[in-house]
Amino acid sequence: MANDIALAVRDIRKKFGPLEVLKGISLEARRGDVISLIGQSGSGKSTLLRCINYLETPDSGEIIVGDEVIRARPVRGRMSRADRRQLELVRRRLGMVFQNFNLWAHMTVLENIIEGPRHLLGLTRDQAVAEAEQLLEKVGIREKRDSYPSRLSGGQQQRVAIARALAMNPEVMLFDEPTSALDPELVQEVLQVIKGLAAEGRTMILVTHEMALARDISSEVVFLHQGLVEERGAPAEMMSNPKSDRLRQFLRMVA
Amino acid sequence: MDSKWELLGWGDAGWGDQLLHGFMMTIVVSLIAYAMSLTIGLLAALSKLSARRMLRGIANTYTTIVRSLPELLVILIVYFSLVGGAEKLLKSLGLVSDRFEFSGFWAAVVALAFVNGAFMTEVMRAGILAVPKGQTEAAEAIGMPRALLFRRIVLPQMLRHSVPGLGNLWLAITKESAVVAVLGTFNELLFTAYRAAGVTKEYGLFYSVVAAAFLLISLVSMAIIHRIEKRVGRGF
Amino acid sequence: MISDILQFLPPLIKALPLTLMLTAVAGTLGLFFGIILALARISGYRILVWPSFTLGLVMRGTPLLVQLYLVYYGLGELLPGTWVRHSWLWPYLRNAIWYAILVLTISQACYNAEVLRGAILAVPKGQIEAARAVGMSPGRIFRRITLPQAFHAALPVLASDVIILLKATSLASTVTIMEVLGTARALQRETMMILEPLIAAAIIYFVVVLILTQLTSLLERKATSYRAR
Repeated sequence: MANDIALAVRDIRKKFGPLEVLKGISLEARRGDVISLIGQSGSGKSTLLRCINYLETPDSGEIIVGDEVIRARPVRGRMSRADRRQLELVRRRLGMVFQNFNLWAHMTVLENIIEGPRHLLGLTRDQAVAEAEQLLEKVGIREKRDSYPSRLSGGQQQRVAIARALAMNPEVMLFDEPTSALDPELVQEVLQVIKGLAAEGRTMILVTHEMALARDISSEVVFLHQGLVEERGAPAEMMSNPKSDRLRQFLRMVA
Repeated sequence: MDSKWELLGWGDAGWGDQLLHGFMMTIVVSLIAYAMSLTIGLLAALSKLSARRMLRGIANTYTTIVRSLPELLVILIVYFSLVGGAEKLLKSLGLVSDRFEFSGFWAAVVALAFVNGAFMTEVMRAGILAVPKGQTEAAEAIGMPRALLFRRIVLPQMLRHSVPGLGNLWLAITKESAVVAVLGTFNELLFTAYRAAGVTKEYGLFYSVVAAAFLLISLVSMAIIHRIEKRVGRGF
Repeated sequence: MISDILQFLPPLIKALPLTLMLTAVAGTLGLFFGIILALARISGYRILVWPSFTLGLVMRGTPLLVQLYLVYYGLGELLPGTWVRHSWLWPYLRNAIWYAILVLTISQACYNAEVLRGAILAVPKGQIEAARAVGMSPGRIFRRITLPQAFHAALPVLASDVIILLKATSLASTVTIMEVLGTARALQRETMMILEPLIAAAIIYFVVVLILTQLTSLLERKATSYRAR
């Protein structure tokens, strides 16, 4: 059973100055699981996601991808060469989609997508382009392949960002509020893509404010409050029958 | 008037060929010093943004001091340290032969590059900081090593942000190259005119010609910079 | 070495007032003429625009040192042949300091003009329309609305241009003026010490620039206090 675990988060703690943002959080995602992290802003859910691929370094706790434990322990912002190398390799197995897309502004859509496969996975340009075209097809913006990101709508940019993450063929996808920066009319096109990935059986960790999405695709919903897990469980059960007052309040607020 | 034109002619009677040589030297010195200051600026900018306190300290000291001193003074200090200390050091280390001497040319190049490297540092630092943090995070998130990340993501965008600053520094370095005439160690444009004027007593004539030559360099440079800015402004 | 450097500080500090005087005079006059040049540039009258544009291009497109040599040696060659030679002005005109002030002032005026021109053009059109709507005269609009805002916007660059000017006054040492760097070079020759007088001069410049930087940032904070932070 152990190698069925795609991602494990063990007792992660994180402080920003005096402020304790994460007070010991654990998660476990088996292959094909979709875990949604919900909670008010400031609850620590984005920080938790960013700790998983070490964009924020946790103060303590463990991140385990497949059966590999991330070793990095930077001292004053610096880490050993070996640890950095390990982290780079682990990150390639984790796809990340950001709230603000973060496409590389000086590269076209296609160049954004083939950048990683070519330079990190060692694909030839032709191979990378062939795969990129399939991905563009999948997220539905094949005709934009030679445009620069600044020419795209937010929804299109986010779909490119998803394709860019998928191009690395990651074992787990991490989504950090993927629709929060979008105009309301553009949200659906991105949600459709995310739903499609869930239906394929992708392992995903998702920070979101879209309760309908969380209910539809999650195998587990985790409600964070002030850096702790307040409640967790199956989505339908949790949302229709919240046990804690805070979750009930939260659901009423976002509804 | 005829005799004045003769003074600018070729051959023994005229200074035209020497002035043209000086003109070329000014451009060559500026180009090499500019290339060197790009390197210095990049290294110092990366040091300033580095996590190592030592590197940050060295880079900050360098830019703070150099930028608050007159260019002429820094050029004199660098020049005299080069011909004094650095020469001795290189000889005692056995890296160069005993007859080695810094040529006036290289002393001028190093001095100019040293001064402008400090200003270049600020341009490049600002350029690096102008690359949105999210874009470097996105590269980190797919496991890009730092060197590749810098080359593929930061450098191209940073250069684009820095074009106006880089252009200004090129204009500045061509004009500053005149200051090395004070060293009197090699025949760039102003020093050539200085000698010509001293011999012929035609100060107004020669310094006007030099001013016109520098103006020409500036105008051509400005036109080229303008075109680069326009081209770079396209696309994203 | 350190005591050698220290021994050079007193004579160099004595030369500091001259450096500061050059900076103050060329800075003040340069600002005054800079405003005039900026106005000429945006006046729309071709007879004003062209000369001010050309002057700016030439002064900013050529090295200050070349300008200084041209004026100092060029006029020095020209003037003795004219009436000036026999006038009461002559004894004064033989002093290089006037040439230095002349060149530094015009140069400073041209750099200031460029900054001010940009700042004046950047004042929002809506504010000028609003002033016109309440019936202000064009002159009054310029004095009360445009210039104060342009000045505030230009202040940081104007201030850093003063520091650049202070450093540029050292070029006057090349035409016999005994300001700080000129004095340092004389001390070099007298004492046959090469680096020590220069380093002493560097210390003085560094301290003065440090003080000036602090002063200007103080000034800026005051001048921009009306803006939202």
